[in-house]
Formats: sequence, structure tokens, C-alpha cells
Amino acid sequence: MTSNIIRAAGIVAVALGVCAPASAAEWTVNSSLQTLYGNYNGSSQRQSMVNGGILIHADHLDTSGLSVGVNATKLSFRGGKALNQQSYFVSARHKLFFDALPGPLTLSLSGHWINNNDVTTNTDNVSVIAPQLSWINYAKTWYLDLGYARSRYNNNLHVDQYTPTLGLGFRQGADWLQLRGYLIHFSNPLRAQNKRQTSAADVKYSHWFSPGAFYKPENMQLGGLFGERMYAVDNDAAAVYNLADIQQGSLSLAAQWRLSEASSLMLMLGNERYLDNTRAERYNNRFAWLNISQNW
Amino acid sequence: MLKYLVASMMLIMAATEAGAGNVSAWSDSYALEANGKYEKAAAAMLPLMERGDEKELATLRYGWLNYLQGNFNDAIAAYRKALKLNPRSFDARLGITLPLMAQLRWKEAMNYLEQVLGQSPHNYLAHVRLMACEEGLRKWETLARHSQTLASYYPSEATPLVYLARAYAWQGKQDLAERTYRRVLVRLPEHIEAKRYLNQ
Repeated sequence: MTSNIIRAAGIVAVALGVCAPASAAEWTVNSSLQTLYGNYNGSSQRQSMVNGGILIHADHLDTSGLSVGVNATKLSFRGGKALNQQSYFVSARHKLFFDALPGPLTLSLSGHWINNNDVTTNTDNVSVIAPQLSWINYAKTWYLDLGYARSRYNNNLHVDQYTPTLGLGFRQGADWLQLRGYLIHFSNPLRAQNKRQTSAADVKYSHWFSPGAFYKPENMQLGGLFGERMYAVDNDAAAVYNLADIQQGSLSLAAQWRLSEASSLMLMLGNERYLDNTRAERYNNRFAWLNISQNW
Repeated sequence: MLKYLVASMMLIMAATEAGAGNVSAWSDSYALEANGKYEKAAAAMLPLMERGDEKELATLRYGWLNYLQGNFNDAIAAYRKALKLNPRSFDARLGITLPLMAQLRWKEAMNYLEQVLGQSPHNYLAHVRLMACEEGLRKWETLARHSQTLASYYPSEATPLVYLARAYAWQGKQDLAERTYRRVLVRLPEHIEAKRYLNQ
């Protein structure tokens, strides 16, 4: 498994031209430690989820970058059983500058590999490949991207996901609105709670505050998901929702504090609503997510 | 003997004409630039980039004229070519930062500026552009330290103080920002940004 990931990382990096020789000073590295706790409410099966991981981004000047991440998750069920999962993430990106365009194009290619001890094997041995093309203008008032993700699951299921995204910046960069569509098709409805496809819109609104006292956040973010999605791939969060039932909406509020010029802390609280179609059961996941980020 | 004399005379005449042609190409290019005809001014440099004693200068100028047209990729390519012709060139390193900064490639620009400052630690232009990059990357603490040091080396200049005032303002240090903008107005009494900040 590990050798596959290393090989895949190499292929992704070479494909995007990230591996050009360069001095150490030309690289900047950011690491973030993150942890999540979720408590399920209204589910006859699920009790809680704990997750922890590390994500490392290495950027070569302003043009290319490579990210790697590892994550461990424990999903506890009522009655004492638990599902333990390890996930690995690799992503490479490269920016292209064309004078005909008022901003750079970014090509990225991400891969996810997931292993767990699911006795049904349905959510074990998941692999995802996700290319994305994005563009942002120099003034940072417009952002567009088109993402695709192909997920392969055991027992005759693959999932195709399309994520068109529009971002708008206004009030001189103090506000940012992002709308992302999730159009997800399942090859086998029997493995997708009788769904052939789902569609959802993810909305995020961010506001940057003027500087103030140390307890005042630098940035706050309100997020919401409308519609339905299942087996989603979120490349911004480097996460695959392979364990989830049908997500029928979510609401979250996040605040980010600048600890120093090189470090920041983000806390997110939220609620996700789910439908388990096979049990005709609706339940919620109330979660808290903490992220500490450091530039080296 | 006469044959050699005629041949030598012809060679001297041809060289003089070529020299006059070059001077004319340079002066044409300068005049075109002064009239805002950057594309034609750059085109006049093209033949001079391939031969002659001034191909390095022609290449630098081609980069500059492409930068003025907004052809940032061509400008970067020209400055890189100039740097290959003369790896010691400060002009090429400082020049390439302009199109890089126009494309918000702050880190790449900083890389070239730090190369200049490695050889010439108090180069004012390199420091000013480095401050612009630090502002672009929103490194307010670094910018405050840097601009304060530069202001001590160049006490009559307003620009380091403008960057220092911005860095204070972005860190929420309003009193220090006001005090610094007042120092800017002493040097440039009509400075729009300083007046606007102090009047708000």
C-alpha cells in the first residue's frame, strides 16, 4: 500500500512538473495538524467519530506544489464496536500563466487511498483520483474551477463526481463567497442506498476582520450544504466521505485566529444531517474541528 | 595594393553604415517608447538582440518594453535570456521582478531580489521591491521590521515610511501608523495615502 502511494505521488509530481531541481530556499512548507470529534444524534447505529491527521504542503516558489496527508479515524458504534480507518492523500499542483488571461490557471491532481476494518469490505480499499482545473484573477475577485473525482469502491461500485465552483471576492478582499456544486453519479444504486445520483450545493462565506485584540479572529467562515450528496470527495479538506450515509445538508461556523506571522488556529463547529435510506433513519452529526497551521 | 585599399575602404564604409543603422534603431526605439508605441519599440530591438556588442542591452530593453505592453511571459523570458548572457546582471534580476510582481509571483520575485541583496546589501530599489513583495504576501511583521531598517538607512525617503505605516495599520497599531504617516507628510506634504489615513 505504502509503496503504491509513493509511486503514485511520484507519477503525480512528474506529470505536473513539480520535481524540477531547485534550492531549498525556493521551497516553502506548511504543516497543519487537525482533529475532529463528532457526536451522532438520532442514529440507532452510530455513536461518535474521532479523527486526527496531518497535512503537509510544500510549494516551489509561486508555481508548483505538492501536498501529502495522513489521517486516522475511529467510528464508534452503539454496542461497543468500532471501525478504524487510515487514509492517505497526495496532491500536486502547477500554475500556468498566460498573458491572454488576467490570472493564473492551476492544474491539480489528487489521489486518496483509504483502508479500514469494515467487515462488509464495502468502504475498505477505496481509491480516488481527482483532477481539477482552476482559475483566479489577479485582483482575486473571481475564481472558477472544475473538478472531477473518480472513486473506486469494493463490491462493484464506482463514483463519478463533478464539482463546478464559482468564487467571488468583494469589499477589497475582505469578503469571499464560494459556491460549489456536487454532481455525483453512482455506477450501482444498490450500493448507494438506491440512489443513482445526488446533487448538492456547498456555500461558504468568509469575512476577514480588521486587526484588533488578540482574541478577535482574523477570519470567520459560514458554510452550508443544500441538497443531497453521498460518497463525496472534498479536495479542499482533503477528505473522502466514504463512511457517510446520504448527507442532506449541513451548517458550520468557523473562526481563525492568527497566532503569529507563521501560524494560525482554526476552530469549526457544525452540524451535518444524514439519511440512512436502508433503515429509513434520519440523524445528525454535531462536530467540532480544530486545525493548527504552521509555515516553516 | 589598390585592390586591398578599395576593399578596406568598402569595409570601413559598411561598418560605419551598420553602426549608424544601429544608432538609428536605438533612437527610433526610444522615440517610439516615448510615444507609447511599445510594440514597435520592442520590434526595433529584435535584430539587435541577435548580434553586436549591445545584444544584452537590447534583450533587457525588449523585456522592459514587453512588460510595458502587459506581455509578462515574454518579458520574463527576455530577462531570463539577458541573465544567461550576463549572469552577474543586477539589471536583469531587478527587471524580471516587474513582470513577476505583475503576475503576483511574489516568492519568485523575492528570490531574484535576495540574489541582488546578497551582492549589494543596501540596494535601495531591491529593498523597495522586496517590501512590495512582503506586502503582497501579507507578512506584516516582516514588512514592519524591514521598512524600519530601510528608513534608518535612507532617512530622507518617504517610501520606506509608507510601507512601515501600512504594516502598522494592518497589525492594528493605529497610533504608530498615524505617527508614521505624519512622518511621510513631512517628506511629501501632498502624499494622498497619508492624508487619507490621517483624515479618516
